[in-house]
Amino acid sequence: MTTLTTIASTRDASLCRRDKVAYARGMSNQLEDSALMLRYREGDIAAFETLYRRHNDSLYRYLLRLSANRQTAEDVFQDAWSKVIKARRNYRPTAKFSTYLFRVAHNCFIDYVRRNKRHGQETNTDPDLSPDQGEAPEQIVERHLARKRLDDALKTLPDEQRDAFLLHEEGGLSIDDIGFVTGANRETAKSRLRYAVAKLKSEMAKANVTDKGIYDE
Amino acid sequence: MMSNDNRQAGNPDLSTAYRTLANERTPPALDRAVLSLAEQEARGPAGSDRLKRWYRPAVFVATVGLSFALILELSETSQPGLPDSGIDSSINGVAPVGESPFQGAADATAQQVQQLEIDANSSMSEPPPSLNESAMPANSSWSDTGSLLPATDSCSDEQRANTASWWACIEELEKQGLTQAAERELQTLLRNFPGFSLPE
Repeated sequence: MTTLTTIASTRDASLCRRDKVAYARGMSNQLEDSALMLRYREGDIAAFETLYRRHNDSLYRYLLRLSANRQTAEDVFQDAWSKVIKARRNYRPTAKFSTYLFRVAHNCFIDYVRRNKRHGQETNTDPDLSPDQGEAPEQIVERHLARKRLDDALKTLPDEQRDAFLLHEEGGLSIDDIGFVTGANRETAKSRLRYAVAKLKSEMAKANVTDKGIYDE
Repeated sequence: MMSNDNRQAGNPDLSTAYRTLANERTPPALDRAVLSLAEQEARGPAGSDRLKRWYRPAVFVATVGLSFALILELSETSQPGLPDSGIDSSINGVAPVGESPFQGAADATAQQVQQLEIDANSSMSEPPPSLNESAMPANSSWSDTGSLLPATDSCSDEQRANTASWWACIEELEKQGLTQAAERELQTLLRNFPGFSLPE
């Protein structure tokens, strides 16, 4: 089990909500990500690009499904990376980078929602319909429908549960890390994730997704 | 490493299904924007970063330096170097004795003023016989002011240096019949040397 250390005294004034960063230990690619961030801190652009390519898609999907709005996701995505870039001098390598990144993004999203009260009134995820290589038109439609059911099922979740689920799936965060990112204690994070999974399974079953062989258990 | 709680909270099948469906990629334009920003921040503002790094210490040092200079200036101004009362009293000649270090100068100035007044009065009422009017310029103001009387009408500074020579000068003036000038010199002598007693 990973353990959250005490709040680190990082000078992350430029981070969203100016939250302190706590650190999780013992993750697999911690050193690599941290080393890349340190190299970027010294001016190595290629190191940042490598780091960015590791996390950009997962962060984007997290924000896309958290906000259920493509424009919001893009704005928050850019804002979060901007914060990370500008706070590079204050970054401490004791942090697991993905936890740090998703926390920044989470806080940026909350700030965005507070600034834009109208967020959530309209959804626009505009799923990507570009076909994969060799994909038949029927498969494209099927994939589109399945994704729509998934998005609909996610929208039925309370915000906190959806957040916990997305952090788990996209960020690969543990329960402790989810608790840290969302500001909840461990048991709360755990119950949110459990409820989210149970409800999603239920919703997907209702939508007969399992008939398509995707959610067979 | 995932704990049991983590494994139980999630669901492998749901995760697989989710990852199959949720495969959106970041728009290339967004990638370019972020990477461009990263490059700009890493390269562009290097100089400004250096400036920012020195900005606060420089401001601090400048503030401390200016404050120190101001304190020094104020402390020098507040020292009793040349008080206004001293200046005024030296002009008026009424400052009490020992009030300021310039008291002696003030007294001397007052005495000089009195001396000049007396000289002027005496020259107007009784022109000195030694004064050769033909030698004076036609419109000379010397006799009007009385400030530059001939040396024979008064004692020189060397003679006034001590009481003995000053008294000898006064006696000489008396011998020459310059009684008013002698009287004037005597009064001045008594003012400057209050303890002086006339010889028998």
